[in-house]
Amino acid sequence: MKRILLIATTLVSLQSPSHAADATEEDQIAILQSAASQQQKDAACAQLKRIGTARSVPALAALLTDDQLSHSARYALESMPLPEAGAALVGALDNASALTKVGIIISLSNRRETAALSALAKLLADSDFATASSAAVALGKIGGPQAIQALKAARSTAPAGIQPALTNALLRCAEQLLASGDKAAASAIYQQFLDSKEQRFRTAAWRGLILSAGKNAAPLALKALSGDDRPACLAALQLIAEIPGNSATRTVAGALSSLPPATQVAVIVALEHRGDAAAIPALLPSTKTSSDTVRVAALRALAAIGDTSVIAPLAEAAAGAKGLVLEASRDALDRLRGKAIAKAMLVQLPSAPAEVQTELILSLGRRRETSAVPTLLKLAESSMESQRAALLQSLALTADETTMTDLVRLLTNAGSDDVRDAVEKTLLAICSRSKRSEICAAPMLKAARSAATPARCALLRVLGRIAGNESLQELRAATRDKDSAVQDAAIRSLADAGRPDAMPDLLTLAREAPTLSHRVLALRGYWRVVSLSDKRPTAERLKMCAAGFAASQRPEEQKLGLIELPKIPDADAIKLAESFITDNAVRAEAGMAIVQTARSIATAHRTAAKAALTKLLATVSDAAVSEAAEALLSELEPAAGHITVWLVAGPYSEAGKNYRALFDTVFPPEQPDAKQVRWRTLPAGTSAGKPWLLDLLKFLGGEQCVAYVRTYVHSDKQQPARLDIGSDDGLKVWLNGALVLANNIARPITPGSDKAAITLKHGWNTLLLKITQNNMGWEFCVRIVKPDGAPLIGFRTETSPAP
Amino acid sequence: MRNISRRDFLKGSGAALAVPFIIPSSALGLNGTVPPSERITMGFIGVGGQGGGHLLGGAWTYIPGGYSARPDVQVLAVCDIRRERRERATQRVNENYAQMPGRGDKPCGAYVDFRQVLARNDIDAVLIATPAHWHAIMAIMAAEAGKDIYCEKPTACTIHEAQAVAAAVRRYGRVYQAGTQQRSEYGGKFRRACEFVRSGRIGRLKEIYAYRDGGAIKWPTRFGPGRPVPDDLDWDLYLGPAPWLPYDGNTGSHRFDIGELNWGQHHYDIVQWAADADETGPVELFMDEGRTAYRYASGVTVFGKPYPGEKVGGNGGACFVGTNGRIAVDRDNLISDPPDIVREPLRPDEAHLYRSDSHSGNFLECVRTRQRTICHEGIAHRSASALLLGGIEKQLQRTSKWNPKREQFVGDDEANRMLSIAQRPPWHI
Repeated sequence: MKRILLIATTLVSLQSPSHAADATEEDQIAILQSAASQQQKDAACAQLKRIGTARSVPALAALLTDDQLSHSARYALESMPLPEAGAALVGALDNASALTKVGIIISLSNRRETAALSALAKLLADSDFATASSAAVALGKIGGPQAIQALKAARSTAPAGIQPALTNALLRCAEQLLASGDKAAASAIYQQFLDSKEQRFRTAAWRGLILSAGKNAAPLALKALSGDDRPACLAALQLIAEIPGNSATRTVAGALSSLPPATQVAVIVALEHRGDAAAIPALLPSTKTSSDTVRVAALRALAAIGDTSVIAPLAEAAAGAKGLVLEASRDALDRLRGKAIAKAMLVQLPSAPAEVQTELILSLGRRRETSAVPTLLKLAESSMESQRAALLQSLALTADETTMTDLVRLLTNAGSDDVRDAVEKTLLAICSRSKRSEICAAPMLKAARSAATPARCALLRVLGRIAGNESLQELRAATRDKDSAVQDAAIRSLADAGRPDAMPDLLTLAREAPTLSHRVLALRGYWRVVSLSDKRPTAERLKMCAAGFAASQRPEEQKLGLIELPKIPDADAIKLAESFITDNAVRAEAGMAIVQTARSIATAHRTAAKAALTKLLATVSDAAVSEAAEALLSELEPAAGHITVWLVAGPYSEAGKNYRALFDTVFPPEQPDAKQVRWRTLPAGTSAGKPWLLDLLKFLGGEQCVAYVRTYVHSDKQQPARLDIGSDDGLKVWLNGALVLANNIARPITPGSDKAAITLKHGWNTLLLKITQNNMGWEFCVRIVKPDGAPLIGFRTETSPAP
Repeated sequence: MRNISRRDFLKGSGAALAVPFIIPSSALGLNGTVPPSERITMGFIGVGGQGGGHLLGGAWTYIPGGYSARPDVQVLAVCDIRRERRERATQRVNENYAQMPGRGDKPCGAYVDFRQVLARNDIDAVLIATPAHWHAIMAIMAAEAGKDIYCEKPTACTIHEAQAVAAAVRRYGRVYQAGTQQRSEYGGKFRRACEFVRSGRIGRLKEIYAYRDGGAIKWPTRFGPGRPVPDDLDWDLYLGPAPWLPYDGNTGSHRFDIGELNWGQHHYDIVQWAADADETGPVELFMDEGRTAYRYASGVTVFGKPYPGEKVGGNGGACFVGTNGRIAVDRDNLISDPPDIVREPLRPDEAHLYRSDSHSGNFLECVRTRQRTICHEGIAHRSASALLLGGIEKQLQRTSKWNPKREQFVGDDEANRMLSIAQRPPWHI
């Protein structure tokens, strides 16, 4: 009685996992030995997996031959680190039925149970395929001389079906021998399978043989590669990246040139993955070979494993190369690792041939080697005329503001337009990166006044990109300079700069600049700043636009402003646009600006947006504007054009039929004059933010079924129209009894994914839909539009045809 | 560079090398017209949402058009225990091939039992996207059948499974790639994050926030009668190594999961990569605020929870905290504090990691070259282990010590018993 009470208490406690852990081993044993249900015994086994000791083994062992609970008992015994558990499993082998016995064998194999070796060896001859195969795998997992002997013996007698399992097992044994350092014994096993009829075993055997070969691994891999056995090649190729030791690298790499080109490429890729710099000397000749494919492979490998010794060969490969070889050699130069690379490049630079110099200089830039800046700058200032473009290109990527004085001097002393342009680009790159505008500006401001016109113009162009009052003042003064070239450069610089602090100057120039082109440039520059000011407060942007429009006399610049207005989500932007609506030259752009601005304010100010659109529609004559305004207006109506008034019937299903089959199963709603249909009102507006969506799942629920929905559409006249429908899942559509659309599909809903051209007759039209349901979502949406997609006017829908 | 076919190569060399696929696809000058002999033949095991996406493309997948749209792949087999999925996917593949010149001559076959796919000698590689409890067994059997393998995550459900997959792949000399595509995809954000961390841009790495904690598998049991099994489903093959259960309508991919078994490996894969721990694992596991946590021998601590207040990281990512700053990464973002840490491009003298810009491309390239993939079996073994150790911890709810070399808990018999789970015969690892 006491025991029964204990079991009952334990079973109750097992309802809660947290309490389950507190249950004692004795409690679980008691359950196993009681008349508790299979479910309860299974739960007890799960507990004993974690806490069971030798005490639980007999109770668990008793379940091992029970086909229903053997798995549960194995659950505990398999991972129990006790000899008693192993003995229990061995002991159950003789009395277990076939598949249950296989489970026990698997547990013994997972335990690496050496005490089971004799029993397992006997089972190799079992007439049951699964038992014999499992015994073989188990012996393979346990390994050791006894297992190997049994497996080898079985090979000569076992039926063909068991042979793969024996091979697998012996490969496992060999793997263990290899791991234990007994390479000779491992090798002896692998040798047996080099000629296997099955490629999978040949690959495994070659792999093991090469790994067992010690110092001879690399030569053996090469031998496999030069043979004609595919599995051997696959194994060798994989191992090239893995055989340990520099000497292996040298052996394989050294043989490279003797291999056929196809194999060379594969071996080079393997050497790249191997990542050993010992391959470098052997790879270098491949960068000069006649095969572009081999060259590219070698260049890529050198990129990964190269050191300072490959700099010159890579630069030489790049010099004069084209296409992929050029790309690969430059990429390799750029990717070389280590701090020593930049230093070595600089050391090699002075004495290298010109083309190689160029490649080294460009790579230093692309590598962002800031340590190279002093040298590059010095060379750029020196007489290294031929390399000046490359030097300045690299300085643009590496130099910082501390080099400005030197570069400005280089600019003012430039002997040609090309050099001056190149320095200007470098200065621009440095200034755009720098966060210290005052340091950037100072040397240029100092030089600007005294520089000759071309240099001064270049400096003004750079100064335009530097924030700060001093640069602005310099530019402002230059816009009034007597030298027309300087004046032109300053105005263009201000117009191109996109700097908000220049807006008053640009407006002034827009009104007062002496030439039309300068006035236009200034105004365009002004609108550019407006377009870049999208993060400024709305009121400020409106003021900017108002000022811009006041200065814009020509339609071309007015249009620039009208493009900016819709970016300002404010009703006042609409008012600004409305002031142009009667101007023939820009009224279309103004109309579009009103529509687009209305769209941007519609969420927050729906009434104002609708009012603006209605007002626009009353005055506009442009067809495109009118259409856009109508479309938006219709969009702003809740569920515009969508039919949300429906009756629903269903769900309908049939045993054994899924949604695909139900698609063509005729249920009463699609039968003419069906009387037995219960039509109910389908609730609309149940999905937040999607007033057009009708959710059948919420209303009906279910899987593998269909529903029908019906509505009546009244049209003022006979007219062509289009149904835009989305459904989850498939659908059929009948208009006035005629099938107009069918799509048997499972899918999530996409509004308008199916379209059907229809003709609405004058008066009432019956619209019936059948929607199939696979699983999860079940919804649809229907919209009636003009055949071209424009909103359809003059129809209404009801659930019954009103008189 | 002119396009060079393997045949050109062999002709030029005069070699009688019977080795397909040893030339990288880049050397073939692949331009959409790959001769049949150069195509990798594949079988797809499991074509539900995930496998179907791999096969045919779709909204979620990072492979436009799926493997079946690739010029260098010929899909020969589709396998699923659900008739409708199997037949629909096979039909789609065959319809697609019928519209591609020269591709329709080898029809794609439909299979219920994956063993029949593995038995086909003309299939080079398989993609496994079945329910999680099948992944390791199928990967091992595929390796033993001489197939190269792409396997969805989680790549294993127990530590012993993780070890057995790696061992089988090595034993048979196969190429393996785990479905932890974050190392390749999403614009390289994850690789760059790990490179920045390993280059010391945040100083010495101290903590990693993995956003999700551990995961494990647990067999449920139910005895007695169930519902009739539908005609179009092989329920026995769904269950596989799980205990026999009466049919209950649930054929979910993750019905046996505990915790974060589904998504966790994505996160811990990136944690391991950044921590330079691809060949190792934690040394101590403990609970922290109800979530699993662990420590590497390097002292870096990994928390299975979000970094407080940081939104970036939840979508497959992590947040790395160092002595000089932190980096957070997920599929959509790579950010740092201070921001400049991730803005400066990686310099040549900084840590550069294995680079792949296409996960499927990397897999197929390695099938050709026989080199290890960016998420090879060894990496998968350890990233799965990092997740699964957390799963054990989640069940133990106490501190434990782990020896990552021996792959055993130290002096903790109860924990060591949880390294494996008994499987229903005839299935085994």
